[in-house]
Amino acid sequence: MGTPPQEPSSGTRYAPWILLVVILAFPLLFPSRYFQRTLINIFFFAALGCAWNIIGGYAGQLSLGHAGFVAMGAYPTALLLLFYNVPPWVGFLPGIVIAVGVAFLLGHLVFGLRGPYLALSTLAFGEIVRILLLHFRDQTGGSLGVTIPFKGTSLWKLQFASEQPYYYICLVLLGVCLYVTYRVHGSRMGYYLQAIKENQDAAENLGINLAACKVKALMISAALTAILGAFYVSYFYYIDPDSVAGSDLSIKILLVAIIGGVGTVWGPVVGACILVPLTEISNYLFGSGRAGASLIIYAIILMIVVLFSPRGLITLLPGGARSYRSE
Amino acid sequence: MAAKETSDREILEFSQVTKVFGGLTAVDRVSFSVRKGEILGLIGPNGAGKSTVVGLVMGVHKPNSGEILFNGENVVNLKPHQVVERGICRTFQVEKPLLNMTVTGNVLVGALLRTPDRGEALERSREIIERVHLGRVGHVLARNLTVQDRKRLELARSLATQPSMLLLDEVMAGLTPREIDQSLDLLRKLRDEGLTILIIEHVMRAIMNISDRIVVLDYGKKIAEGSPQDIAQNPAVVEAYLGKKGARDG
Amino acid sequence: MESVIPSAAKRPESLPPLLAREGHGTTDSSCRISLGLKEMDAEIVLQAIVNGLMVGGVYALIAVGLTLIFGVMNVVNFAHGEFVMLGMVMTYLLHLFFGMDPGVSILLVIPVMLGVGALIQKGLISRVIGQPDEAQILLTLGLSVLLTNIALLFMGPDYRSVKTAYKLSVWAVGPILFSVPRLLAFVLAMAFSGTLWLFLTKTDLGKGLRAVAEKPEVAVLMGINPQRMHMLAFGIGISLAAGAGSVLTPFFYTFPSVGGLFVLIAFVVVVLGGMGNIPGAIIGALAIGVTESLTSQFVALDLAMLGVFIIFVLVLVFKPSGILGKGKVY
Repeated sequence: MGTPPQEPSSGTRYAPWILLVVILAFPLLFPSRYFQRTLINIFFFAALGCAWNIIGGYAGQLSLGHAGFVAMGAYPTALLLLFYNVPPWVGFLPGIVIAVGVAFLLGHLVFGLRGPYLALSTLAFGEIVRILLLHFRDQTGGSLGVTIPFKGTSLWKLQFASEQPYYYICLVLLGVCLYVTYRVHGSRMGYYLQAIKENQDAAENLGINLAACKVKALMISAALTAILGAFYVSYFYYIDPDSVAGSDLSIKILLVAIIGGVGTVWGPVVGACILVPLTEISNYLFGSGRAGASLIIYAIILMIVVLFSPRGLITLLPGGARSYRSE
Repeated sequence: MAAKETSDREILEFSQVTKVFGGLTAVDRVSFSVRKGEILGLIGPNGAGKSTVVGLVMGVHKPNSGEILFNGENVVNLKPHQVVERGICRTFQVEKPLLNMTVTGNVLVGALLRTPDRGEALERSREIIERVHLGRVGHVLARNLTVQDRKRLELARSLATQPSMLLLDEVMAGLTPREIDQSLDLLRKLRDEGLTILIIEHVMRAIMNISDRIVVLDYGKKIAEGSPQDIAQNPAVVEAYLGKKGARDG
Repeated sequence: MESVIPSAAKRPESLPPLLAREGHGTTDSSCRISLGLKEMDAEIVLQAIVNGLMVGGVYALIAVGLTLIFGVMNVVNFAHGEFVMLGMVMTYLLHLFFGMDPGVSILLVIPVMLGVGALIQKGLISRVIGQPDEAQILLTLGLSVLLTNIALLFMGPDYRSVKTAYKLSVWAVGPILFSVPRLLAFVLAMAFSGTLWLFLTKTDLGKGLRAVAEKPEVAVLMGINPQRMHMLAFGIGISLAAGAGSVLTPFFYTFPSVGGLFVLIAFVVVVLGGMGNIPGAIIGALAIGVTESLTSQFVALDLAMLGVFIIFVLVLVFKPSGILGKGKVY
């Protein structure tokens, strides 16, 4: 009952390293664009899930409108690139500033609220972003969106003809998100967030500044999400309010984290590894015109996870249950 | 308004504090002080306002009037976490453990207040856990603890924040006489090491035994203050307890 | 330097329910925010208020169901909008295959959805009662996504309309025009809301519901079965939402993701009126309907929802227990 956690066996200790090598070498070994694209999607959603996890998983503050932050990263990047030829690797900075600033304000506004009302407010937040983007059509292109023309491979514009450079960029971004999550997990902030999630009154009684902690977590999450929004522009070349600020995206983001395992470092990766291939399969079976089909599957998985495995499917993996830090 | 002179020996001064909830005056111009290093008992029938006093000290409620001085500083406008930072910590009457964390994890969160370094905080936590006799369940999840261990955990967690004053809210409820004696022992040791304690209790045996002084509340007013012997013989106190038909809704 | 092409037609889903009505088509004027209000012609104001009230009546029916579910079960039903959508779809199909008028099909929709709701509650919702908030939020969210996309799968994303004979009829009272389908919707919605109110106050079953809402422990002691009450509350709640959907069909497009529009409005209304507070929900709904209408008329067409959200934020920040109090938000 009271035994300390045990050391992993040597097999499980080397497996991650082997996996890492495979992932790094993958594009060189398998030139298939399709598989590379799929992996990029996995990395992308895993990274988004990680970013969401910091506020939604660790702090337990469900954000149902996180796509709003994606849009805050995507639109400045796209518009600066299109109109002022500002390269994405500079253009993403204003997006981060905006996202972090909004996170600061939003956090102070809504974090006093109880669960469902908080979730509702975040839903409203996402919608407000989307509505505003649609409204200011002269600046943002409204519902027609912003299209970035592809003019050949250019390091300056971060445009590449092949998938490989995107693969590695996205992998690096995922690495950054994982690293940030890892640092939060092991730090005082991680403990504090978990305490807040478990019992806010108790946490406050231990000297934890609830508002400051939650807002900080949201700001970190928003910053990472905005960076990924900038990547979205570079990779997909087209954004519009529905695709980058819509509730479909918000739901996918939180699904990845929740299905995989909230409050763990690797949970979102597990979640993305399940959801992205599922989308591919569903598109194959039902045709990609019927995008609704994959969402049906997501919804069912979400409900099953909520009812039967609330800590996420990562707990089904060997050693997965230990991903939750308990002490 | 004349400046208040706080004696060096008074760590907490509760001064003419009134708190009204809706139409109900929960605390009515109550004044008392807690001396450094003493154990002050706070008793009274149900609904007398004892928990409200705790809430007022901790910054959960804001008084309608009056001052609360901790080490000379008025803490009335502070938020709860700031009060804890200043050095007052409470235990909850209904325990609030962090269920999905181990005993060590729970105490660690408390220790992290004074040091961001996990290693140092962990060391301090382990020491405290040993002191309160929770050493054998360090790795147990809080959700799996017995009632007595839960109460110990509440205490350990609060101690981890290194308070100079501890507010204990009915920690003896549900304990066997032997367990009560163990707790009292621990509290005496803590007091001897310099900790000031304000203890709210219904278990008379415990509070009469441990308190240096006692303050009695009834219907939000202070009706008596003095040594346990004085209180036991005070007719107003006896009437407050025995003259009541059932407890008032708190 | 390339230019970003401005759009010519507005996609209806960017418009709030009040405005995404058929026959509205494309709009011409540019939609910058004009903080200078247009001329406040008394007639225009009155018309806007009337329009707002009529739609507000329908909002009331939706919100009343939501607040009932919360009051009795302490469940925040994120899928509530989808039941409006289901009501619309059912009505649309009944009209398509049997030529049934929405005012009639509502009498079919509500009982059917009552049963459906009870089943959903028993099989699904009951499992998260008493669990931490995240469980019910995520479960109902999942249900919402499920229902929306099942509808999408079967119907496709197209906007469909129910063409009734009186669709474009208008009834003039002085300078004010009452659109007949809207008026009908308002009357039916208020009738059902009123019926609910009577049910809750006058019947034993209704009192049982209120008992479970206010003092569950005592209700059990009095021999009331909370599980049955939960089923009843959920069933009633979503069937009213579906009924609202029915009456909306003559003047509102039917499409799978329409639920999303209504759920937010319903929540704003419920918070405004106080969670669990039925008269509050009705009054709040009328207020929101009018706000939406006035915002769209005098600020900008597509920012009407924004006006609603601003009110939402203000209420949450300043009076979270709702304008009429008695709600619990913190």
